Amino acid sequence: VRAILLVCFAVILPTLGSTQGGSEPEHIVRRIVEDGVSEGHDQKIIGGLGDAGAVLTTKILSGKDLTSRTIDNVLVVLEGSFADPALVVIAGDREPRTALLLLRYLDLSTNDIGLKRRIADTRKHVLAHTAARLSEP
Amino acid sequence: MWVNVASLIRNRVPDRKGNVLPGDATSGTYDLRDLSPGLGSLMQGNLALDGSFGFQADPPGILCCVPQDPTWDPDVIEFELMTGTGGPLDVGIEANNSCTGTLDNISSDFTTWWSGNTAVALVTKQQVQAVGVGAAAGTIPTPGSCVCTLYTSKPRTPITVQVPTSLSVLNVTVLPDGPGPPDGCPASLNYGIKIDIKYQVLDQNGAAIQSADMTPYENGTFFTGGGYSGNIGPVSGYPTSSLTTAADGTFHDVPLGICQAYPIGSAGLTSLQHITIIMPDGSTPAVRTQTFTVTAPGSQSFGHGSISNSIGDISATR
Repeated sequence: VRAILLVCFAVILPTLGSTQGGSEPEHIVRRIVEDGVSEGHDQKIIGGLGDAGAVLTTKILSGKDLTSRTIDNVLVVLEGSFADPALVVIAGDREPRTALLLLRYLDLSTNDIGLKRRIADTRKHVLAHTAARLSEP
Repeated sequence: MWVNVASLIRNRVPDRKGNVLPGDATSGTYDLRDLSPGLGSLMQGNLALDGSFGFQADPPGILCCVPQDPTWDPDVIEFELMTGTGGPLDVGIEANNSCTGTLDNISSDFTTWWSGNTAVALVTKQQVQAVGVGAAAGTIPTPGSCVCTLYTSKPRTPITVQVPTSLSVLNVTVLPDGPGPPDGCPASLNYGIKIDIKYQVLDQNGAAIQSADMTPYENGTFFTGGGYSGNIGPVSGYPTSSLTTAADGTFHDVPLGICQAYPIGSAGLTSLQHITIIMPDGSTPAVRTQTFTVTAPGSQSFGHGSISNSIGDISATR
């Protein structure tokens, strides 16, 4: 299963740009995932990403060993990216396709029961927020 | 045909020989003669004659005091509320109705409106457009509105153009711990603090601007360096945030602060913020510049943090 997921990410990653800067989405996602730093202003950026936040995260994780701390930080990004899918800028990113794939990958990458529970909680939050948006008229 | 004797007196209307009635006449007698053939052209009911003391007509003021033709008391003619921003704002004129005693809107009776200071406000019929800071007077000439009480008056009113000048902090709320919006610091990034600040937009006189048409905008630097700019709201997952101010001129800046996996030294991390207000006319007055400092020193700060600003009106700890 991991091999299939890695192949999927390999297809996705080349489609991403590589912008840098204080308020660039990739810079913010990288700071949260790699440095473990979340600023209040970050939510104003990643809240509009939706599934693009998951895609950026997979790019940042590429080739890295996943630690428990890194996985927790990824969950922060995914929670923020799907806090309100109605505010996601690109309509196609309001569905958590890559996010669910990434969460599955994270779950397979750890045996920590507590971390697996937090991954499951994030999955529930993402699905609940998406469903809430889809149920709106 | 109506003959209004009071009008003839007060307007100094001469007869065909050039004679006018005495200006101080309050009573008198006169003859009425029907020149048309036949009967019924003069009716007692129409003239409201009182037969008790001979044929003496009632005071002509009564003719005006029917709901269709009231007099207006010029002393109470005034604009309706004319403070605000942007615009144009609908305004009107109200006056006491002498017949009913009620305050009526008589705006449509007035055709000429103007501003005493077009650099501050533009006044057109029943509308005011704020264009600058300061005060002006809106003026309208009143027409004679009753055949028995002719007068001309020019009601004036001050027009205050409110311009966002500063912000006051109404309250500061520490966001609760949790994994994601609308929470503050997650368990994995447990040093620091995030807060929700509620501001009130104030004008040049320190008065609240009650308008839902203002868009708070910010630019500045992150706690971790680098710059940002954009609208303060709305923020995904934080329901108190919004694109524009509420109807009372308040808005929330949320979430503000920083959470990280490691302690933040006592020197703290700082973030500069400039706040401007985007007005409906496109102007962007600056209302606040401040620097926030967050501290969470030492391992004992796990689960804690403090934030304060350079102005001194924001301070919170978790």
